[in-house]
Amino acid sequence: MIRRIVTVTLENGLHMVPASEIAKAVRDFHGRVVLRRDNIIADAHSVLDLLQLRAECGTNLEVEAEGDGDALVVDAIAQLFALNFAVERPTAARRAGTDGT
Amino acid sequence: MKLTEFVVERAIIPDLKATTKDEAIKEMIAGLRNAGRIANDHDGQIVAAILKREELGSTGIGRGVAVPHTKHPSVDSLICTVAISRGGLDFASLDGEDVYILFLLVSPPDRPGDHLRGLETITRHLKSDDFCRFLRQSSTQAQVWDLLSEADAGQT
Repeated sequence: MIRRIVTVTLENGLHMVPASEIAKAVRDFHGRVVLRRDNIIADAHSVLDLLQLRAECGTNLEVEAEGDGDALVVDAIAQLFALNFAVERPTAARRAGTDGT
Repeated sequence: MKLTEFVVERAIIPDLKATTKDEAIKEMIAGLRNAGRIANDHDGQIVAAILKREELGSTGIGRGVAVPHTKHPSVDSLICTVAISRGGLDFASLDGEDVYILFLLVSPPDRPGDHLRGLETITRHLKSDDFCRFLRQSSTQAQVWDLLSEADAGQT
């Protein structure tokens, strides 16, 4: 089992676009992977679950994975947070003419 | 946060006429406009902003549900409408399935916390099979509103 703490640095929090990116990143991982905030546990495969975290900017989340390839999947999630979710780059949002939430 | 605090009862559409994603969003925004919650001169902008948001990735999040949304400075609080599509809509959903239940959100740009709370509230109820089934069985605004009220009270 692998665990790591990540911090939400997205201005608008962990909304639907980054939640979808997490679900996509873990799609091919067939083990258990969850994000946890306090007593709320979200299956990273489920956007519905991830939105339950209501993780605003500055929130720390614990990522936990277990199964074949768990280290890789935790790395992939941590990387999304570290890069502040590439899809959220301000330039991309400006090009699209939307705030991208 | 409760559903009935931000869903606009008079904008609920229990039998969506639209057969495409674009039409559905236009029909739902028209519902909010006709309920007096969106100004006439802003509806086009809001529809365009929601469609641009969809280009970043579908808000069809699986289980036959979509949550199209945007932020817009013309609203001073989070507002939402609900629509049921009887025939289903191709929303390019994450799971490839058609969408039957739509919650459309418009929130003020300076209140990201409210937006997250709204999404959390909606998705918490949408995880319930009973809630989704009863919603799809509702055929009037009043029935949908009663179901939302029951969900707020923890009865579904």
